[in-house]
Amino acid sequence: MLEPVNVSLESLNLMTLAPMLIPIVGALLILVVDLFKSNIDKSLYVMLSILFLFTDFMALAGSSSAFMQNGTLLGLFDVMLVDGLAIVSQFIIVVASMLFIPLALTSKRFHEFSYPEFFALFLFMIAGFQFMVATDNLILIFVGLETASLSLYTLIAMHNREKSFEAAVKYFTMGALAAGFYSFGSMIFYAVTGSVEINQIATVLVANGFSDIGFVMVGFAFILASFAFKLSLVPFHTWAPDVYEGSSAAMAGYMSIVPKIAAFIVAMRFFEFLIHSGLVWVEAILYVFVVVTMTAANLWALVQTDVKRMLAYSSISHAGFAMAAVMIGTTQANTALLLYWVLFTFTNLGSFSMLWISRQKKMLPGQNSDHSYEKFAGLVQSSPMAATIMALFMLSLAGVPPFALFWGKMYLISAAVTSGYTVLALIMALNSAIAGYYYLKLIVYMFMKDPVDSRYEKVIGSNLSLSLKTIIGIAAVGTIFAFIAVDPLLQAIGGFVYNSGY
Amino acid sequence: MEKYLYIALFAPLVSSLFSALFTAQKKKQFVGVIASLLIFTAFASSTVLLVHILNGGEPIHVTLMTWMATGGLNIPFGFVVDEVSVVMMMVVTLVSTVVHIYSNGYMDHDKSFNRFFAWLSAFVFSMMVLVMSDNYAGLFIGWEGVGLCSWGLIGFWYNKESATWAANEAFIMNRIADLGMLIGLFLVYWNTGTLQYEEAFAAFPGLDHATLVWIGIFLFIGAMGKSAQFPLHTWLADAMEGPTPVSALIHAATMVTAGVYLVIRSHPLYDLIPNVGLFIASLGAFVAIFAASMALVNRDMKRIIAYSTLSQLGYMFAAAGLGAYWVALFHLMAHAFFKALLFLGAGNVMHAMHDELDPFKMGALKEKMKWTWIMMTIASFALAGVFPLAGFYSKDAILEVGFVEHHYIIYTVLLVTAGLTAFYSFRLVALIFHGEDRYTLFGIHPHEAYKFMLWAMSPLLILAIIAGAFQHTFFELVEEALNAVHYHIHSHVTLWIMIIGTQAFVLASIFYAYKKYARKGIKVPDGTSETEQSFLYKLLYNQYYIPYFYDEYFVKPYRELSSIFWKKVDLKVVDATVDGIAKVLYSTGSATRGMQSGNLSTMLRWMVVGLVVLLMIAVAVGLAARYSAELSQFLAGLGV
Amino acid sequence: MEIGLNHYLVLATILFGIGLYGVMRRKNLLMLFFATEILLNSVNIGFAAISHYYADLTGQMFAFFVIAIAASEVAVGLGLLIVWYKRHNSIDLDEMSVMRG
Repeated sequence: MLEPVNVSLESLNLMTLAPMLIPIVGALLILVVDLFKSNIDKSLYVMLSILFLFTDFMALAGSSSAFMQNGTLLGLFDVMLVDGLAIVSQFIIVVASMLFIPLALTSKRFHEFSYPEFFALFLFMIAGFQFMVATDNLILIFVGLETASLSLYTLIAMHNREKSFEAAVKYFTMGALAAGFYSFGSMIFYAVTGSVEINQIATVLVANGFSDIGFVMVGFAFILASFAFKLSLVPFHTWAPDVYEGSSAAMAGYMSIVPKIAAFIVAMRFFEFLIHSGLVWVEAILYVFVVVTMTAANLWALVQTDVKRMLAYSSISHAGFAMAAVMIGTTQANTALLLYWVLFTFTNLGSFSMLWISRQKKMLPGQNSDHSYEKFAGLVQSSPMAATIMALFMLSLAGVPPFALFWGKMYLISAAVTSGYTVLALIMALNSAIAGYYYLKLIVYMFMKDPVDSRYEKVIGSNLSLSLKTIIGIAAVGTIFAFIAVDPLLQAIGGFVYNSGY
Repeated sequence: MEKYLYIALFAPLVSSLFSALFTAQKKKQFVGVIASLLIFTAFASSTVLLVHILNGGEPIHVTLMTWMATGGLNIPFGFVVDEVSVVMMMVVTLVSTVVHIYSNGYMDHDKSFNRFFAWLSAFVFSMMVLVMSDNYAGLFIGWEGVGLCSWGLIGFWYNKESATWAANEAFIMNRIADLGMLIGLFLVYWNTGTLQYEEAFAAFPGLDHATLVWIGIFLFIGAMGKSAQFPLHTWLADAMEGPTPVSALIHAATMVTAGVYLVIRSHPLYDLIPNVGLFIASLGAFVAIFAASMALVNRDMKRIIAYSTLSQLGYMFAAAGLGAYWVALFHLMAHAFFKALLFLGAGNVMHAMHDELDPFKMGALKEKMKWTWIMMTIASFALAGVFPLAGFYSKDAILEVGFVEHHYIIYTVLLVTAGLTAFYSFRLVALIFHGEDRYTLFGIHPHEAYKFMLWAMSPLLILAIIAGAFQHTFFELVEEALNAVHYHIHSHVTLWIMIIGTQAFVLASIFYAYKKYARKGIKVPDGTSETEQSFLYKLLYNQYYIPYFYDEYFVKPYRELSSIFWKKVDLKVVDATVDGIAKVLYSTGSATRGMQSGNLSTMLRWMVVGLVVLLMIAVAVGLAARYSAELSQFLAGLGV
Repeated sequence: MEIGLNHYLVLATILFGIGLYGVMRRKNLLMLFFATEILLNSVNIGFAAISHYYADLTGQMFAFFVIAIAASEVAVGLGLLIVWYKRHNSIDLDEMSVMRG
């Protein structure tokens, strides 16, 4: 006869769950609303989503003040782990989501946004990501990861174009393989240590002095492979360009930010204790990944003819750049990564929104891709404002001072230098230089070439609506005036990261 | 006093942002007026600061904010008004005020009137950041800022093919040089741990010589780009595609002198490495004569003035390279006044001649445009260095430096250049204003510029005349900051011979130019005359074939190389390697599968490849750890 | 011979290998999904065995979650597959390469 379970509700610390439960409740509510009254204007769903995300944001603010008072919180049988990393990354996730969801309010009607399921899935996905970052239990990470990924595959497919299905199928299949890698890796760590909590795993491994180094390395290989997929590190990146191309620009922009920050947090939790335990091989492998990803993705981005694909490769390169911070593993580096990602969020939000406003429903005869460089040729003549703003985001991506990403790059590179990774810092700087060329290429097209095809003139900006303008405005302001925010942001993030021991 | 610093710095920014609000709209006169007023405010504040410094006030130092101060990186963003920067601030704000007011008239009929002021004020702001920053990082930001604004202003008439081309050329050439500069800054930071001028300069003497040489060289490469020194000079002449006020402000008075400013600013560095200094001086002297020779035969009014700017920049570098920083700065200041005046005068002429640039098609304009004639003549006298105008004092000082420091080759070259300068300046003046009227043939009815434009130019005119009188005040001002010394030629006789000789040479050149070009019966050259057939003429006229050379040997091969890389290396080699690797790893399949990307199978395989490689490393590590004892025994057996 | 933990783990590894091979070689989308199922289920065997070995329920919990996730994956996967089949009348991977480069 089993003992009756006797747990006091207080010890569960259910408040730690609040930030994840809010979007889930929101998603269910959206579905219920649709059940009772269909044919509601799509903007209602957008507003509902923003409302719930905002509540989520407030809940996060609550847990962040709790964190500042009491330090790291555990909850729900110690499965939930609300530390500084969890809070900062959830802030990034929620704020980025709030900024991306209004992109559904385009002036052209894309039919995925008329389904309430789209928004419900979107909220589920956010909850999944939040679970992923707010735990160190491998099971919950897995559940969060898969909740988010499965929603994401569906969201991509809902774009309902030939290429979207292809992208979804590709992403899905590769994701399934990565899930296999992840679970196998977890199994090995479970076999070696008898636990599925990263803390415990670390304690056991350190206690026995990594006596099973071979198995640890094999487990590491599997886990790394699965996260390299999520983070699109070369050679696990192959999905990224196709998926970006296949999904709507808004979705692609979202994918370049939110899933990756979640994966970065898990990578930090998992890899850094290995590195700090002095496993040089782990460090060496990550080093190679970082360098290859940065460099190769940059080279591929150079030869692209479609702007969105170029941005896809550029996102891969940026991910490699940020991965360097995980490898360095100091407090400064981790802070730098989070700062980088905040700044990257604004810039990429802007650049993908700029693609989004120029999206046509149907391609013109003779047009091969949605956002070819030719489409933007001579943009300055038809709409100088759009060209200038787009150029601004490109300059920021290229790391030109004083725009947002310059500070991220600067700080990350300096973190590398302070930790003694001089060569790495040099490679990072060189890569930023290479990257400058393909961003400049777009600027050259916009400002110095004549329009290739007069038909494009009408297309660009045809998708523009007030809410898109607002979002682009926010992104532009964030990109230009980042230099004011950099220092306070650093202080805040640094405090959170430092107090949670990373 | 700090208040004035902020006003001087931010008034141009406010002006730029204000004008930018109206870029998309039709011409609004008040935009130009308000922009001019704001720039004038900056000028007034700079004057207050100058007076403060002149009265022996302490340099003003403010730290605006700290951009980053965590870990090993600390970039405070501070500004300083000291003896050097206040001179630059005066030059920049004065010339900009004049140019802003002048532009109200010059850009009168342009539909992008408002946009012009937005760019122009943005340029002034960047330039102020450049000169006022108290560290290399801020200087670099301003440096990039002026580059960007210069690009926007050269290509202002962006629907003109040649303008956008020139803008890009300028931008790209500067980018190449900026890379050098960036490396220089990197080296400074690397070796001293700071980018603050004071701290870096204090740390320089402790570094080894080779490092300093490299820093000096790389910083100078940056200066070469911005100041258009050989071989990165071609962009400056092409930059004349921009509106003329832009040429006056950016490509004569301010931005192009930023390179000289950098060298002057870094003088504690260059003092330690006299060899690099000598190289700078030699290059400067070479550029001086090289550019002057190209100006001799050119038939484009603005280009001639551009070459003369280039030549004068050479003078400044010659002085700075020889360690006479104050002389360089003085010439920079004097040159800014008379060259801006010359350009604005050229702008008047261009306006009157409906954008005709060939002086051979002008002639006898002095009746129609009396004031412009007077101003340009005086500016040319000043440029030629005729006593007692500004150019005489500053240029003569440079010649004396060359002589006193016993660099007689540099001295001779600069002396000859002074003659050439006088010749081409007055060739231009003579062709435009004297002789007989050749323009009616082309159906042009010239008229004098607006009154207020002429009034706007008058401060420059006055300064071009009297700036020399301030030589002593100037010397005292910068004496301490730049370790200035007087360059005295010991024997009075030599001194007088030199001065009189130089003056005689210059006046003779002027006279010759007048005689040759002010006479009647000059024809518009059609390429048939004997001179034009001569090799030398062709060489000079085609700018020593350097643009042609660049196009033929850099641009074209680069383009071809790129396409080869793309077609051959990328499509064939890279793809083939990728496929090849995949094949080796997956020879399980007998038939060759499509290994191209885009295929889901291939993508999945790539993932598995990654995993397998990781696993192999893992297994290797595991085995090595398990058998480490045996391994070391084995290796010992091999004698390792 | 007693069947111990190692035997289960070897079995799990072999099944995982089979799954991997399937993922690489299969050109039929449906077969590919099967292969990923094999991958995930091999892990389940491993987890159950280790859990038994440690007399700890965590592993079995993991296995349950893997089963649940595998099930939802199949649901999404089949959904995608059906849409694809409706449009193309084929589920051959090689026909799925519009985007490349």
